[in-house]
Amino acid sequence: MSTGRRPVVVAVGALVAAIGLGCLVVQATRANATISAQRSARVTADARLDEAYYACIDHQARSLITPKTPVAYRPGASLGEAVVLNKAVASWITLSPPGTVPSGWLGLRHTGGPGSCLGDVVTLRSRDAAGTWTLRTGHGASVPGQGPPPAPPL
Amino acid sequence: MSTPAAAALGLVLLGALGALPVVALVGLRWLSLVLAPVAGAVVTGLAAAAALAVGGPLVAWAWVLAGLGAGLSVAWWLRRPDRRPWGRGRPPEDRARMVVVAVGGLLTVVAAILSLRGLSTPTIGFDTRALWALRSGWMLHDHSQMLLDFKVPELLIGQSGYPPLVSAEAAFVWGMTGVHAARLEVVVVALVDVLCLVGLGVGILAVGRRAVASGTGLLRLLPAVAAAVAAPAMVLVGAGITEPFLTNGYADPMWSLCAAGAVLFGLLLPSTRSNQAVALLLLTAAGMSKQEGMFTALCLLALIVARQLGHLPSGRRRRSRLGVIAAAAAASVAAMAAWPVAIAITGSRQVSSPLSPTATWGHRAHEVARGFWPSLHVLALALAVSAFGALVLRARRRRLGLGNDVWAWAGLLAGLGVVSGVLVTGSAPVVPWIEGSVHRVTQFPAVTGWLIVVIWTVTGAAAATSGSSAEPVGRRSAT
Repeated sequence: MSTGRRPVVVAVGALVAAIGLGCLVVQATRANATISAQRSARVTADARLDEAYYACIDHQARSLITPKTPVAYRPGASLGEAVVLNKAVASWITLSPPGTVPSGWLGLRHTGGPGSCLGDVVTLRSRDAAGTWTLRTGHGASVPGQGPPPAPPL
Repeated sequence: MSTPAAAALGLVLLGALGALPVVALVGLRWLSLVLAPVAGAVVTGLAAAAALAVGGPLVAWAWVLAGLGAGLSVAWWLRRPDRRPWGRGRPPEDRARMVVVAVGGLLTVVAAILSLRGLSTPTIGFDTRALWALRSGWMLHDHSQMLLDFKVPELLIGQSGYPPLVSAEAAFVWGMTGVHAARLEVVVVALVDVLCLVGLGVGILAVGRRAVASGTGLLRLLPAVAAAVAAPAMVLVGAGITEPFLTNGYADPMWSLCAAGAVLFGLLLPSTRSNQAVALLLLTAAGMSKQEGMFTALCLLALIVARQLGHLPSGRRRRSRLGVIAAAAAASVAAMAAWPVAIAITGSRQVSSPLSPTATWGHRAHEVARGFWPSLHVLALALAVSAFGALVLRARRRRLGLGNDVWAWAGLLAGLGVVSGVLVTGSAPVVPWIEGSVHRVTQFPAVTGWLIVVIWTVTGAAAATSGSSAEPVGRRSAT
């Protein structure tokens, strides 16, 4: 490098370093605020309600079936119903193989009122000992209020 | 066992799965400590593919594959004693430089811990419940039930065919700790994500360390000081870009940060064997995390191979180097392909998305550009810094052994092209689709843009000290 260019290189180098570091520090400060926002009262309250809702659905399902009970979603379940069941219980339930009759049909009903999870209750349609079809609802957990829980960011 | 305890144990176990192969590939570096759990996550992804395609418990497969990796590592060291990480003399360290880099490392760890503050809120993302943690449970079922989980149409989730890494690492930790909770998936994924961020910081510190000239003046330490500030700042910036998804269990930060790391180590940093191994590991992890990660990883792999082909040795070593490059690339592609192959041969559900009419692509591209821009302002800064640097500082950059900026920009644009291409050619209404995904799909280009700025920042600091007659310690030929 020629000695004539060296001062230019030094000056531009210092300028690039200063601008780069300045922008980084400013952006890091903004990022820190973004991280802090995840702990805001509203985000925390929404997260707790979401957690309580799905824990409630999970608990009600476990009051009706065990992880070994072969079940299927009730015929005609809506997309929203399937999504809630997927999110709450599908990771541990045993699905009945296609072409076989499950021990019960799992569903979700919006009933509102006490004993429900933000208004929803888990249902199981199955045969009782006498061979009659019955519809049972889950119990043992509830979350007061009306659903659905606040939508988390997609 | 509590969730934090299970997560900590899970991270150690993931590290145990990947430790020996990482040391064999990368050497004994601080970076190896950071990357071992990432390599462990890759092992669990392969284990998930084996469990789905062949049967057998995922946890057992993970340990078998880890044992295989460890055996290959030991065999490699037996065959090539010169590659053993132990018993190697190290050149005397410049104490002042070491202190600055150590302080930078400490600040990077502090920044990483600060980045995890969001975990104090018990957030579990929508897709985490609906897909990522859901599949973790399926991966622990017996084979017949696992096949049903992935095949029956009534569950209405075609996305269950997405790459497995995030679900698989959580399934492994669930299986090992006995704690089956979506919250544990969130914490483990966040910890591995933040390790990837720390990896970026370590790479930046390595550039600063390399750029310090020999001698005694304090000014010569300027590049290391710049790196010691930039590394923790980059960790926070990366966390800011990826939140809230960093701490809600999503796979997007995983692929984005791994792919950005592959750009840093494979296309920006000096082309050493260790750096290339790090890049290969990270891009493989990116490709095993999400569909767009896989396509981006394949583009990055092509770029890294192209960069390597640009400076092959002559003579007999040329052929051997070509063989190593081909084998490494094939291994990476095979790892990424394992899950899609398992999904295909078992007839599992897959996403099928029809294309939008080609006549709408112009309008959709315009909407994509308009939707992306607020998340990608950094690209204007990166472009300006790159232009200035290319005009005035490129000689200094070459002397530091750093890659040409064009490589990193090609990688960034490839990743941006992949996600843009999906949005432009997909059939869903484009505006709501962008609104619902822009903060996730722009994570990779945004983080990579900042990395380009950081590398020029450290290069600028090195140039600012070039009044000294001393040369950078790490001087080497251009790459």
